[in-house]
Amino acid sequence: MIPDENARPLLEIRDLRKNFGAVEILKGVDLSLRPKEVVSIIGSSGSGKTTLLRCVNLLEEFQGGDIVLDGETIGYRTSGGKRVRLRDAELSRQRAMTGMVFQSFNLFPHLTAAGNVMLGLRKVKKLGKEEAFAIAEKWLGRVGLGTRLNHYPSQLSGGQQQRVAIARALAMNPKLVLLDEVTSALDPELVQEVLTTVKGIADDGATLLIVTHEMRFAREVSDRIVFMEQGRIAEQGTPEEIFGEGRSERLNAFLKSSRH
Amino acid sequence: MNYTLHFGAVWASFDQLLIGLAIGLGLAVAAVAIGTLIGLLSAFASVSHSRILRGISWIYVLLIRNIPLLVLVLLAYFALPQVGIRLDKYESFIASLALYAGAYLTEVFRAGLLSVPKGIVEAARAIGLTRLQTNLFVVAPVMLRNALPSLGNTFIGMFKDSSIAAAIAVPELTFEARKINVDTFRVVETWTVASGLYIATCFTIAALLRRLERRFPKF
Repeated sequence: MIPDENARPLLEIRDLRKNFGAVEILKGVDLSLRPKEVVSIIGSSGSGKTTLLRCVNLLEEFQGGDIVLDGETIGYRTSGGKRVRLRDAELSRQRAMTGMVFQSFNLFPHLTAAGNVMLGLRKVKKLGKEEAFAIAEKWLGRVGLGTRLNHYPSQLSGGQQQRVAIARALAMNPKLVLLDEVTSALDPELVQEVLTTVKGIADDGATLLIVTHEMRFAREVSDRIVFMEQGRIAEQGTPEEIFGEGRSERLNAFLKSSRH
Repeated sequence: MNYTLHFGAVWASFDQLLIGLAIGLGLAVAAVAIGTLIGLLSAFASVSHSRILRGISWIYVLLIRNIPLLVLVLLAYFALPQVGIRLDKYESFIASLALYAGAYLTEVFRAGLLSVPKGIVEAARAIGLTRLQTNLFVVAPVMLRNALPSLGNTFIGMFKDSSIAAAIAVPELTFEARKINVDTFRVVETWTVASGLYIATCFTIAALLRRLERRFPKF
């Protein structure tokens, strides 16, 4: 899908600052995504990529800057000139607008594949059991697990678990999907099936913000690559600009070091 | 040794022992049911962000675990009426045992809560579940499954502790055995049979629990 150049940004991050105690993790990040755009964030560990994603999904508090999702400022409101974190109910509603897929799958171990996908549909979207099941069936089919609906996470391979996690995120029909190193915990032979699934949802027009170490995959799937270094966006551009000739010295050094 | 065994006198009142056993089981079930609720609330309180809730849970466990159950029972049955709270012997025993079980289960559930992977909590939050929904639909079921073996042990312990109700004349197994003992003077027979009943019941409960654990495989 070609993102619409003129559309209003779906996600707009302005001057995002985050610190854990005295340690600054994000030192003023600006980033925006258009609807249907696929953006990959690369960078060495500790550069703040994952923290950035977690801020967007409000799993982390942040100390400065704004995150605007589809026109709504999320996480905080201003009251008498002070930033105030929103209440739990509001945060939960805003979190439901983004989907997140984690490095370590994080499936609910007491629920089947279908149950994992249905929980949010039932409790957050308040859908009836049958309707929720139909949606779960559709999405699990979409990620190639139509025959594994009643399997528990412990009965699935890592790759299958991660595909359930992708179905769980997408079934909620989020405006934006965050993917946090979704293949890093997988055995090498299982990486491809998950990447193929992600490629599929990108082709279907989902808006994706991806943190990844898979350079070839990032190059293949992304409209834009963002290179982070020490809590800042150091460079960004099209895959050709980032991976092609004429890239900067530091990017060159990172790409060389990240090659396995 | 010139004691000859005569079980006949005990068998004659065996049905009384069985009724006593049923009463003891009933007391334990009621107390563990209420105690589980108390333990769950107290365990969630003990890991909450609120200092006050953590403090309440801590004091509750500290107080109850350092009072012998017998003293707690006597306190509930004889002392509470003096301050205007009148419970009959069943109510006061169930209340005491529930408080007692709750304190032990707080520790059991607390350990269970700490064993719930942080990642699945985040996953639940990420799809938009509120804190309460996350606790109800994700944390509690996973924790309860992990705590099932300890929960079972606590239940067996509470069933045995139901014998303490004999002190306030609740007609459970130990009380009935003592009555038969007094009536027949068959000391050895009475207490052997009573012990046998306790052993058989606890063994059965343990076996049922193991089946339950197998039905729900560990995560």
